[in-house]
Formats: sequence, C-alpha cells, structure tokens
Amino acid sequence: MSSQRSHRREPNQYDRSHGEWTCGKAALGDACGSGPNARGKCLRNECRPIRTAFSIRKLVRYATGSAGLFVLLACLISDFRQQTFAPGPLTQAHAQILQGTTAGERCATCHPAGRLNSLSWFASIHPSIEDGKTQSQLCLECHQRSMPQLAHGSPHNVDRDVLVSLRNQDRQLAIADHGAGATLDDRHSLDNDQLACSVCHREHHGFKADLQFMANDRCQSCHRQQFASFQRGHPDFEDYPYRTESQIRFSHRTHQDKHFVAKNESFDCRTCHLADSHSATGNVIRSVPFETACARCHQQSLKATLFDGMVVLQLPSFDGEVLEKHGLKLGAWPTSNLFAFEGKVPPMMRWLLSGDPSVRDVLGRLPDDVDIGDLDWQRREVCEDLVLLANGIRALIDQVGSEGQPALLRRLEGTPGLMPTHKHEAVAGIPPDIFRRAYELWFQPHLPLHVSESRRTAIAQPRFAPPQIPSGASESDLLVNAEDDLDLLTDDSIQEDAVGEVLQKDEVRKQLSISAVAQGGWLIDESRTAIVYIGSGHGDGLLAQWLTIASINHSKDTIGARERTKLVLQSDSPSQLPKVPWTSVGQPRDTAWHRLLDPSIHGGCGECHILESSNYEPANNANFDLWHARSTGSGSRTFTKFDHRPHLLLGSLTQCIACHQLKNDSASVLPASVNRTEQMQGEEFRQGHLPMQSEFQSMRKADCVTCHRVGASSDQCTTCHNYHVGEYARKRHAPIRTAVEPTQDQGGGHAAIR
Amino acid sequence: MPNVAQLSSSAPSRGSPILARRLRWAPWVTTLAVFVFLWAACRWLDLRLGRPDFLSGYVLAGLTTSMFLLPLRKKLLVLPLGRVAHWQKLHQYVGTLACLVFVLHAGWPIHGTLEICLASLFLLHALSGFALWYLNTTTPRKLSIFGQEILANEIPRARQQVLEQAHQVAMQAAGRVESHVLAEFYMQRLAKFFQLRRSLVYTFFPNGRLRRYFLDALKQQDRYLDVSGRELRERLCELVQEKDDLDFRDALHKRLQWWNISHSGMTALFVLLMVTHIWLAHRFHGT
Repeated sequence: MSSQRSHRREPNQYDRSHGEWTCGKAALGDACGSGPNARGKCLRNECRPIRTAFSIRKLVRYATGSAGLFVLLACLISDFRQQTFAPGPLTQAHAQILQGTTAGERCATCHPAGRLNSLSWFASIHPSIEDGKTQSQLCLECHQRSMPQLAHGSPHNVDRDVLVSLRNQDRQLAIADHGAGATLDDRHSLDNDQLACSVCHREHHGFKADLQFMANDRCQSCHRQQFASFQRGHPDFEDYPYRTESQIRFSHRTHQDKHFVAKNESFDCRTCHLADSHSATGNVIRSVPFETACARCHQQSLKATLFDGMVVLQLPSFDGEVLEKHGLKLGAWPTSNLFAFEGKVPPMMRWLLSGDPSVRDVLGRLPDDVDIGDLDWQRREVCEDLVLLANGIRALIDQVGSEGQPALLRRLEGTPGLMPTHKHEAVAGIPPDIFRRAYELWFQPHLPLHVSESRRTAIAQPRFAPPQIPSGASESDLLVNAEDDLDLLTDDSIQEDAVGEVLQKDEVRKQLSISAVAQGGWLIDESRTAIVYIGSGHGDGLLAQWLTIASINHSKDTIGARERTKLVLQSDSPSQLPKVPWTSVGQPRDTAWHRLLDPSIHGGCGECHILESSNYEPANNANFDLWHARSTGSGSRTFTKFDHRPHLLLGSLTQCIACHQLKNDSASVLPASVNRTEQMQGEEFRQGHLPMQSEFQSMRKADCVTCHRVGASSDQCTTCHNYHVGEYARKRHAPIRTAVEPTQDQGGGHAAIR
Repeated sequence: MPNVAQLSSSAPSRGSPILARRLRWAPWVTTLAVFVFLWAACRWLDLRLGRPDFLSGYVLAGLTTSMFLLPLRKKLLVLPLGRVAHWQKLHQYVGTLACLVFVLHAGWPIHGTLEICLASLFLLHALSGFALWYLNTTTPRKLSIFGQEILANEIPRARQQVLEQAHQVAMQAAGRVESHVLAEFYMQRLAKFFQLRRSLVYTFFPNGRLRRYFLDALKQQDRYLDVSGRELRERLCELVQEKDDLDFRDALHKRLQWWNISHSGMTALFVLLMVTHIWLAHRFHGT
C-alpha cells in the first residue's frame, strides 16, 4: 500500500473531504495555491470552482429538509391537516358517521388533541387528556348510549366484585376438576379499570378493517386455562343455552303433550319461533310475543281477570257515631261510607298516601292486609289514626285533582328505591280530571246527595244513620219517624229484601259503568266509592308499571321468591322463614290485585310472569324489567352469543329438535304450568315462585365441534363470546311483541369466560 | 505524478485469525437474537393488552438515531474513538436490525400519508445503505483489477493525459502517408471518444461496448497500414483501453457518490418526519 501511495502526487489543500468547494483546475493538476473562498469564488478569477461531493450531499440534505419542513407546516395550518396526518382511513362505520364533518371536527370527535389548534399541540408533551376527557371517554360519548356498561372500564364491563366472585367460583370448579385453581390470571386484569378502547379497537387501518377483531391469544392473556382450540380443550357446556332463568313460566312439554293434543293441533316449534314461518332460515324469535303464541287461548281469561278493574283509590267506611263518641270530627265524607268501620287501603292508595308525612306513621301502624273493621276502634288512638287516614285520603284526591300529575310525582318521591323513570312512567296517563270529579262527588258539601244515592237511601240511612231531613221539610213529610226506622231495622225480612234489592241495583249500575270502559280506562265506581282503572289487556303499560313499583317497593325487607322457595324446600318449618313479597300474599284473594298477581289464579299476570324484584338495585337497574321474557332484560348482551340463521341453512339442523330436545322428566321441573291445579296446593306453589328450570337438555360441545374446528368453520373465541356484556339499548327499547332477535345472546355465565 | 500505464502490485491479502473466522457470524447471530427478543417482548406486551407499537417504535427510533454515530465518528477525527471500519461494521449491523424492527413496527399494509412518506424514506435509506454496503465490498475488488490505485479526483487529470497522448499518436500518424488513414480515423471517431464524458446510464451500468467497438474498428485499419503504422495503431488501442478503464473507474466512484448522496442526503427530511410521527403518536394515541 505504501508503495502505491508513493506514486501519487502530494495531496494539496483541495483534497480535503469536508471542504465545500474545490479549484476548477484541481482535477487537471493545475490547482492554484489560494483556492476558492467559502462562497465558491475563485480568488484569482482563473477558474470556476466546483462543489465537492460532501457539499452536494449537504446541499441535498438541507434542501430536502427545508422543503419537508415547509410542506409539513403548510399542511399543519391548512385544511389538508387531517388527510396528511391521519395514520390511515377510518373503518366504514366511523367514516360514514364523520362524512359531513370538517377536518378539524373529524379529528376532534375521537381525539382530545384534535380539539386544540395546531400551535397548542406544542404546549405540552402529554397528549391525550384535554378538558379532562380521555380518548376513551370520547368514544363513550357515542357508544355509551347503546351500551351504558362501557363506562365501567373494567374487564368485560363487569363490576369488579362480580368478576372476583366469578373467578372464585371458577377456581373452585377447576380445583374440583383438575386439582389446580388458576384459571384466571391474578396478576392483573381484575384491577385494571382503565383499559382504553383503542387497546383492542384499532382504528385507521383501512375502510374494511375489522374493528372488532380480537385474537384468541388476547383472551388467554387473562384466562389462563389455555387450550389449543375449541375442539381441543374448551370446557364442555353446562346447561347451554338454558342457563338463564326465564321471567316467564311456560312448559313446552305440557303444551305439546296436553293442550295441543286436546285441541287436535300439531305442535311445531317454527310456528311460534320463526319470524317468517314460511321461511325455514328466517330470524328466530326466542321470546314469542303474547299476541302470536298465547292470545288465541289465553286472551279471554285475561280479559275476565281485568274485568273488575284495579282499585286505585277507595274510600273506607267509618262509624261516625263511634268517632263522635271519641270527640273526633271526620270532616267531609260521603254519607254512604259512614255506616261502619270497614275497608282496606288498596296498594296504590297506600303508596300515594305514604308521600304524605302526616299519614305515613298511620300507614306504618296499619298493615296492608288488615281490614280497619278488625282494628280495636274502641280505643281513641285507633280512631285518631283513622281520622288522620281519612284526612289524608281527602287531601290526596284534592291535590291530584287540582295539581294533576306533579302531585302524584311528589308523593312518589318518598318511595324508596325507585328510579325517576319508574315514577314518570307510572304517573303517565293518570287523568287528574277523574280525581277532581271524585272530589266533587264525595266531598263537596253541596253535593252530598249525588253520591251513591241508592246506598244512601237504602243502606246507609236505615242501618247506621238517621234519615236525612232536607232543609225546609217538616217531620210529617217523612214516611217514617225515628222509631219506625228502628222497627224496620229489627225486621230482618224487610231489611234483607231492601238490601238485596239495592245490591242488585248496585251490581247493575256497576256493570254499566264498567261496560262503558270495557276496552280499558278510568272510571269512578260509585258502588264501591272508588276510582278504578280497567286494564286494556296484555301489555298494559300503566298496569305493568304499578305492579313493577309494587314489586320493588315491597321486596326490600323480604327475600327473593326463588331464594325463599329453596329455603322452603330445605326447611322443616317454612312458617318461620322471612316474608315473601306482598305480590303473593297479604292481599285479599277476591281483589283484582290479587287475581292479577297470584300465580295460582288462571288468567292473572302472575300465572305466566314471575313478578319478583329481589335482584333489583336502584343504582344498577335503571331499566329494571319484570315483564320481558328474560330476567336480564331482552336487550342484554351476555358472554355467549349465537346466531340461528347460518345454522338453519344446514339441512341437518332445519328441525329445531336437532339441538333443542326436551328432557324426559321435564314435567317434574315445571310446577307452574304442569298440572297446575294439583301442584298449586303446596305452600311454595301458592306463592308461585318456584325456580323456572329448563325443560330442555343441555347442548353438547361435540355437536358444535362437528363444524367449528380447525380447517372448517370458525372456532375463534369471539365467534361465540362477547367481550362487552350488559345492557344493550338497541334491543332493550324494542317492544316485546316485535322483539325479533336475529342474534340471540344466550346465558353463558362464568363458564363462557373461563 | 503517476503514470497510468504503470502497474502496481495488487492489494495484500489480510489473513484472518482463526478466532475471528469462528466468530465472524457472531454479530449477525447477536443481531438476530436481539430482534427475536424484541419480537417476543412485543408479542408478550400485545397479549397483555399493552402497547407493543410504542415499544417497537421507540426501539426503532433509538436504532435509527444510533445510525448517526458513524458520520459523527467521521467528523470527530481528533478523539480516539476506534477505527472507522469498526464503526462502519456496527453501522451495518444496527441498520440491519433497524430494518427488521421496522417490519415489526410498521407491518403491512402501511396507511396514512405521513406514514407512507416516512416508510418510503426509511426504505430508501435502507436500500441505499445496503447498496453502499455492497458497493463498498465489491468496488475495491473491481478497482484492484487494474492494478494501479487512482483516487477519484485524479481521474480527470489522468483522462486528460490519455487524451494528450492519443493526440500525439494521431499527429505522428498524420505525418506519414502510410498511416494517414489512422490519423483520419482518429479525427473522425476516436477524438470524440477520448473527449467523451460518459452518461448517467453508464455511471450506474458501466460496460465495455464502446471499448470493443473502437478496438475492432482500429484493428480493421491494419490493411491500410504498414508495420510502423500498425505500431501506432496498437498504441492507440492501448490508449483506448486506458480511457475506457478510467471511465470505468470514474463510474464506480460516481456510483458510490450517488448512493452516498441518496443514503445521507435525505437524512434531515427523514429525521423531521420521524419526529413528527413520534409527536403525533403521542398526541393522538388512545387513552
């Protein structure tokens, strides 16, 4: 190498590699001694200096850098900012939503930083929290409307205590099965309540990107009982898909073997459960509407139950003489209701009165199933309570008549555990006019004779009160004097005839009144001195709301019916058990309330609906629903999902019984519907809340593995499991009679997330 | 001033120690191991519902930044920071690792205008880097074929010398009737060749097409030449070969320069886009 170097010319000052310019004659070996200056000018004006390679490289570097900076700044302050800096196209759904927005709005919809101007970006290094909102919270501004549980932020949007409970259950099962209990990773996940949406839902990956894609491995980062595939290692099913307890009592077995046979009709699942019975692959309806499946046979019995109507408010009868003896003044009160201590406080009136502080204590001393005639009214304290009760009833009618529904709402404010939605829906539709009219009829001093004329003349006056002498009339104008009246009362035959005649007239009058609102509505029943609501039939919203309130309001001090039933079955002395909700006991068996709620009575609501609210928590059950088919509400997303439509395309699965097969002994687990008359004899059946166990056999994993395996149909976790669970508004607001569920979520419980 | 006709001895072969030969794959294995470790870490983070993009992104940013250690070393001539050759090796290993991490970080397809520009620049840097690596390995071997080492900035002067010598030979041929044809041939064709500056295409794809053409053409002039004329023709042939060799050397040097400019000329733009990308990722990542 050194010998080669010796052949070269001596390097001059222009050979330096980091110089900007070199002499134009240097390449020819004639470089001058001084060379060009820093600006590339030849000091002798003899040549044209040329740039060195280093200089060209530097020049290119500065030129491209400056051009890039210029373009970036131009994009930053222009309308092309979104197009330039967006890391990719949005998915179809989000792109459509943001279609009409400007570039700034488009970013700001999802990104807190997008709400700032360009210069503010440089104000702080921390990006994602502006105005106290994170990006996930901006996601929730839209998505929380349909899935309120998203706000929890916890894994699966399930409360941490519930997750811990499920994990512990799962661990015990795992210990029992495998001798090891680690099925869920304890090291994290349960305490992670700040899981950002973008961790799983990664946007800006193209128009057709699957935003909901989740790899199986990600599920198993928490669920440590790992297995290779659905076919190999996935736990077998337990009671799938019948784990969820239904809110409806219905026996397929009885209807198939008994009722349809009696009517000589064929029992075909698709008749009720397919939205389009002519199409074998249509949407499957899990909960069949009443009008579709039940009304044909059960409509008449329901109408008969609702015929008498629900007593919303009824004036009890007081013995005026006894009250006077105690020195108490009752105030304005219909004379027809002054013959004796008689009557009960109907449930609706009790709740409305409980909003009056002056009556609340009286109600506390007056049990809901006790007739006031059974009280010890010889005691002055009892009579004082009854006068307070009468005043409260009068004030209630007056307030509602004059102020309308706000007065009702105000009185319901004190009812514990009720959400505002419950109160508003319960009050909606109650006409104040009917209360005003009732007040005029019953309490206006100048209209006493208009009220219950027949009772006044035939019962009230002869039995318990001296005849009313109209002002200006002489004693001789009366047919009989006071002594004659007493004589008449002592004559049993005359008395019975008169009472019978009057009662007959009352019945006719009552029938006429009710027939006037046979399709449902409000009326003042003069014969009962009551305001009555006649339900319109199945699905009557007002009736349902009041029954829901009743269930919630009276279940606080009691245990759930299902729980009680278990205790009854396990205990030797059921009478010592806690009280069940009032919906099943405590109401006279001859009232409409009882007929509607008692499960042992044919045609009532309780015959099919399990009216139990033991699981109600005001904080978590804003949309608590007693009436829909499923206890979790028809709009809930559970851990497991299933879509019937693709399965019905398979020839082997077109018949429902291919998967849904009745148990052989299903009759024994359906007490509420099977042999109802005999089975309702027992205490637990009279209360009517035995757990609704499934009458179908659990499906087997092996049946699904036939298709869902590696190399065949999808066996991803998310094929059958939801990550986000809870209420789902799009389904929740669907009325039950049109609740078609194309994708049915079946209860999977903790086994599904194992 | 060296004579271009002089041959120099070939470059001495450097014998590698046995240990060095055994460990010659160690840097590559290490590079691959680091990448596998990083891939596993990203995978683990992804399965733990973490942010593997940030991990791989920052590692990539760190590797890219460390690539600037080589030009920094070249500028710090005074400090004893080891041989540039060692730094260049490190540059190659880190660059290879950066390419692997880039694939891990960016994935496919790449969306977004800024991200596509950034990825394109990265690919340009990577391709030019690998090209430079290849050229740095093969060019000295190709240059050594000529036997004499000529620096790139000495080539124009050597080319001028060849032109002058060819002109002298042509003048000698013009002075004799028997070789007058050779002088005419030079005037009509060869003079342009000796003054020719090769095109950009030749720079990137050097070839011997003109060399073969003129040598063949010169040989066909023999039938018009006597013995002394044929000696002049042979001398011209030698000069044609020297000119072509110089052009070939020049093309190899310029090719290196062009790749060098493409490799480092976009550095500022790349750094600018990279910083913007990091900034945006921080400002807009989901929380």
